[in-house]
Amino acid sequence: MLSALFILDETGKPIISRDFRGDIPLKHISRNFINNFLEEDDNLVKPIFIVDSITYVTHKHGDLYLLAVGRGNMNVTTAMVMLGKLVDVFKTYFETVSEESIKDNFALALELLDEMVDFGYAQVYDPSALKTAVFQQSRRLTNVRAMPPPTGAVSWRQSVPPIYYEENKVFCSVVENINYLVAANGTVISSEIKGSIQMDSQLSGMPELHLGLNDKLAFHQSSASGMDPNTQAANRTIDLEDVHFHQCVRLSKFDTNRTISFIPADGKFELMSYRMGKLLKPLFSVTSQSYEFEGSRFETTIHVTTNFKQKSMTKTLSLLIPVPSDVDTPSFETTIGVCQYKPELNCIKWSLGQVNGKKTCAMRAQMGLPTMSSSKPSAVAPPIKIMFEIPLFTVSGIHVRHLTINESSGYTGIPYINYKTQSGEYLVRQDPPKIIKP
Amino acid sequence: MSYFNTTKKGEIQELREGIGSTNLRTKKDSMKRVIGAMMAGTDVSSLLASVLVNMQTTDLELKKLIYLYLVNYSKSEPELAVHAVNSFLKDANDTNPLVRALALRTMASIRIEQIAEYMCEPLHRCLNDKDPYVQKTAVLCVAKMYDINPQLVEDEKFLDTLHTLLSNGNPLVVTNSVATLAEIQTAHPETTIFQITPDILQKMSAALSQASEWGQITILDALAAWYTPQSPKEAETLAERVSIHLSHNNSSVVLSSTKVIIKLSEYITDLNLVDKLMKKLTQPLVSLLSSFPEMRYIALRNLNLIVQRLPSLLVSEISVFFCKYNDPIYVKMEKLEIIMLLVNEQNVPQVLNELKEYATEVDIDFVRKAVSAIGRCAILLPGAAGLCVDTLVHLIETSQVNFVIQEAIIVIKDVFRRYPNKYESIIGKLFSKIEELDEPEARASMIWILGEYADRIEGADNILETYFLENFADEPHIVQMAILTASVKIFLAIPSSQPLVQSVLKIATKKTDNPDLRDRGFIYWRLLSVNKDMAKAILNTPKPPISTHKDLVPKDVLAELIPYLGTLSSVVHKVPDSAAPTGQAPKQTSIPSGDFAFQQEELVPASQTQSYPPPTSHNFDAQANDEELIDFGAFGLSAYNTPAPASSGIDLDFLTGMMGGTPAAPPKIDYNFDALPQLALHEGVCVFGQFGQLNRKTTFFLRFKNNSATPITRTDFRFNTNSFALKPQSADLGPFPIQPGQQRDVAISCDFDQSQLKVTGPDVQVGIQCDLGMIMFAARAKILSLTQYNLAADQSKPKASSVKNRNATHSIQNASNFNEFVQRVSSYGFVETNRMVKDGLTAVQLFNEIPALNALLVVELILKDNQAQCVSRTEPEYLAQMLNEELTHILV
Repeated sequence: MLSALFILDETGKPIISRDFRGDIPLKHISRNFINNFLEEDDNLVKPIFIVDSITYVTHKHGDLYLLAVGRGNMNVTTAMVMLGKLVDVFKTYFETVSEESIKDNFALALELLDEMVDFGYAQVYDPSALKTAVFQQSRRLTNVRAMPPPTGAVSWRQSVPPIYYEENKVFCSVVENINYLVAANGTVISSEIKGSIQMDSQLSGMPELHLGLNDKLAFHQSSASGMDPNTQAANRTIDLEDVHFHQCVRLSKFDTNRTISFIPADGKFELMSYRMGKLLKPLFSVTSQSYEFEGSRFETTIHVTTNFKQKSMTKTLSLLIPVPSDVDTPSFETTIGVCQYKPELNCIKWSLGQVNGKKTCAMRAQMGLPTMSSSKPSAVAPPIKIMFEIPLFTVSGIHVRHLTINESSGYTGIPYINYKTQSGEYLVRQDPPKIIKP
Repeated sequence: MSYFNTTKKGEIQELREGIGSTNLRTKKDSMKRVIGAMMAGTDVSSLLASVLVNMQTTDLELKKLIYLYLVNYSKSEPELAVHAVNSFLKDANDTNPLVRALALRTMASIRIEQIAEYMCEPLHRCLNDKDPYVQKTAVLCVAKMYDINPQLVEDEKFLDTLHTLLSNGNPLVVTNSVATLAEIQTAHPETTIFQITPDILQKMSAALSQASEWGQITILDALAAWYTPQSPKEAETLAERVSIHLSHNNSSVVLSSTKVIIKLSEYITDLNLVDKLMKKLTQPLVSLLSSFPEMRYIALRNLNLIVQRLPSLLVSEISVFFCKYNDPIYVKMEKLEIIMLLVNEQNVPQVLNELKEYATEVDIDFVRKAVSAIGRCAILLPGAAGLCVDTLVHLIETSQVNFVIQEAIIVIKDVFRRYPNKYESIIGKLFSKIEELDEPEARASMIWILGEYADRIEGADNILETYFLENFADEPHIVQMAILTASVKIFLAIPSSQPLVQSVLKIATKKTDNPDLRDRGFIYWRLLSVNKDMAKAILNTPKPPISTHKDLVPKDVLAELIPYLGTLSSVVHKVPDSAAPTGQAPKQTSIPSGDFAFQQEELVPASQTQSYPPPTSHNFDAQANDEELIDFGAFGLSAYNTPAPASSGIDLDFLTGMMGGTPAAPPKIDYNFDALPQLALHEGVCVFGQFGQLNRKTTFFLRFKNNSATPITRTDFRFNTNSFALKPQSADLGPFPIQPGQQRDVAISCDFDQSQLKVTGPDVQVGIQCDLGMIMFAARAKILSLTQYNLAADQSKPKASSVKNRNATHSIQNASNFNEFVQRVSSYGFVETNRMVKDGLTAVQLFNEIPALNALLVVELILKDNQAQCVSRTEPEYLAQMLNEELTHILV
């Protein structure tokens, strides 16, 4: 359990704090945080540290530091998750969580904390459940009824009074974030899909939803019990690893017959997340070749090929190509898209926009180097980063077959289903530039 | 409007007026500004009286602000605060459950003893409130009250109410009750406030499936801390139940479930099930790494422990630990640690490619660690050493960064130590970089190589003189020592370099004020002047091989840490000392070079500390010390060929028993090892075995399968005292190492040793001590393998008749093979002492003895009316049951 919680600005000055247990003198916390975290040598900084028998658990979010302190052998994982989820809850109330928004809404933030944490124990964290118990007006919410938040078995949805919507609809989007790390020679070092099903429920009453996914889904939990890999390949199943569900999903039911049935939380929430490792072919192949003519110029040529099927199209596609610092007079040639030099990132940003599958695009950049340079030629070439979004496409092949809504009053709700694949962290390493001496 | 600017003069007065205003809007605004000032650190305690006046308000927004203020400032003026009690008591009776809970919660948070007393009455009522929200708030108030006045809680019997609430229908009420009871139990380990009885277990496990994510953590943590399964079945059921929660997206739920499952698995006897449970852990643990960076750090520290405990779990997932370019440095360092724990002969090429990539990054500490990791791979994995050395040489040749080269040279020295005379072809490449070395450690390493290979390096004496001797006086101590030793070695290899060694010895003994250096200089000098051959023998003594241990946390500490996964302990890798709150020294170790230090009062006094090998990067330092000792003159070490633990210096025990050199490969044994039953599974090591007979001698057949990630370099095989006075003849399963994935089949013949005799039962407790710790298991001994084969029939007869006690008789199916039965029993050395054939009845008495146990065995086979029977009798009696069982086996 936490003894106290702080939200600090970038310099370590507290914006708000809440003492839960009164067992820690709060006077020096901020100063200790500054000394042992902010001003600590970069290599020695750890997100968890101990000063005077007090444990500090820190989480950075934008320009804020969230800090939980506690005594004894506290469960730091719980503390860290509480900090992470605190940001999520704040987000639903103040849109962005930043120094400014916390200062503007400090009374609301304190009130939320009061409901969410009691005596250092997390209580109710569900944003929709908190609505009835919080009175401070934020910029988004008005009109609350004084009701204790639900605590029962369906703690994520209020039942009394029932939620009501004029029009009953539920949005379900399958979003896959693609993480790749590709070596300069094109071999895949690590790859994973991190997918999730995001719901936005606007349904009245206490509806019961059933979600059906492709029959071919093999959940990894079951493959642990000894599925034959050969038959798996023959059926071309989609092998999802490590499926996590929102607490509303009946895990026991899922465990017995693999149906995802749940009473949804109100509003937006993540129903399920999954992971798929060891992908086949990268979505993009990138080759880069760069030359550094010592003291005169730097040249780089990039080819990128889209490997997904032809009828899919990226909504956005851009590459961040690192270049040496202090370059000047950039000039670009591209077969498609536009390039921009971003001196603050030491990068060229190549924006390609909409690109179909199975296409190759090329780019050539030339930039001047200072004639006299104090630093040695850079042997380091940071990886190229690819950012993209492909609508109506999932890499894993996961597919929502049906989403049924049953409610005792018998209304018909409309389900909307959407798919999206986007870049998580898609990195392609590149060879260091060939150095050509003058 | 800003609520934070309150430093103007007269502000407090202005606020006071605002709070006293009759307009609700103004009141609220002023109150918010008061809270704002409070948050900004301004002292607004002087407003307490004005704030108290407004407590009776019906506006909930204002009420909450006032309560918030009270929690903060009541302590400064307790007398005034007591005036608030009446309002609290009134609110605690409000019709709105939100108000009731709020009043109670605030009242308990004020932490003044007088107020605690007033609280008893409303607390009793609220614990039984009809609204669960009020109940769950009230439950935590008990914890708050216990913190202020434990006696009061006991007098009012609140804890009994909490126990009743464990069966409440609302999961949050149940989990808060568990949290409260667990907290009180933790703070007062001497009490028995919270004991997980079967009844409570059932309630907790029912609540587990309904509880919120936080409630699940509370229950799982309580199970991990205090629950001990009563039977394997119970452990199985619970583990299955908990494993569902591994798919939760809350990292803390995953870690807490993991620790419960690992703990329970120790009580489960069905090894297949254990295996299945452990497999279920892999993916959830991997996905912990997809959280935000600070969470990843916690996850990695925990995974480090889990990997050490269960090495096979994540070995196939090594690529998830590869560093990303933008990982924070603390994450990269931890990932590197885990990569080094998981590296093996199969994945080493992949790992080396990664490490090479890291060596081009910018962060100096990380790059150094990566380079030194390449060297560690070479030392750990003899099969991959060549590849590692190639990688290091590649780095030395291509890297433009000075510290990469220096670090590479430091680790290459260690590689040379591990594999003497194997990679000296690369020495030339090292020396091409000699001018770039400016760090003491790198220079000392280079000098060590120079001295060690003086006979093979052309002009070693010139190199030493040119590059290192010039500034001898200004060199750091470590370099001076290296130069001194190297110059003597060079002289022994190249006698013409006598002037060099003389000048070095002269400076070392005359012109230095460092006593270590001077003493060593004198010893070398005398050694050289008395007997050059002896000097040679001493200096060129084979050095103890560098350690291949990669375990960082000792096994016993590790075992204690597992139930604390997710907590602070798991991050700092230290066992908490909550077990000793009364000031006794904790029984556990402290980590000498940890990044964190617990508060001084929690530190163990040095005398009571048993320290263990410091983590990785320090290992080489320790080895360097070993090496200095050896160079200095560890006499007669030539036969020493077992690895010494890195930090313990030289253990003299080895001289007594281990001089024999590497044992020869065991001869092929004629025995079907595949049929052996599995006896134990420990850290990935699988042991199969049973007693049997080989060449008429009692033998323990053993298959030792190393599925862990660590090569086994030593074993010690023992029996506990047993009913048969058995003692194994040989104690090790060599030749070593037994690489991961390898198995070893051995037949260990056994002797009788009276000192081993202790009547315990039919099982022999066997212990195998190896690199991975102690593996314990029990093997059923076979009486019929202990028997004699050279008995004389006439002497046996009186002995046979002296056995009086009669025990079990069993009938034998298939009586027509009666003679064959007699044959079978005789094949175990039994002699026929009596035979009677009369009226269709045939009776044969067979006898054998086990002199070491003073045991006499009599078997009578009787055939009557086509019904065969077998009667066995033994002296002493405790063998009867066993003999009977074995006979059943051979006769059916």
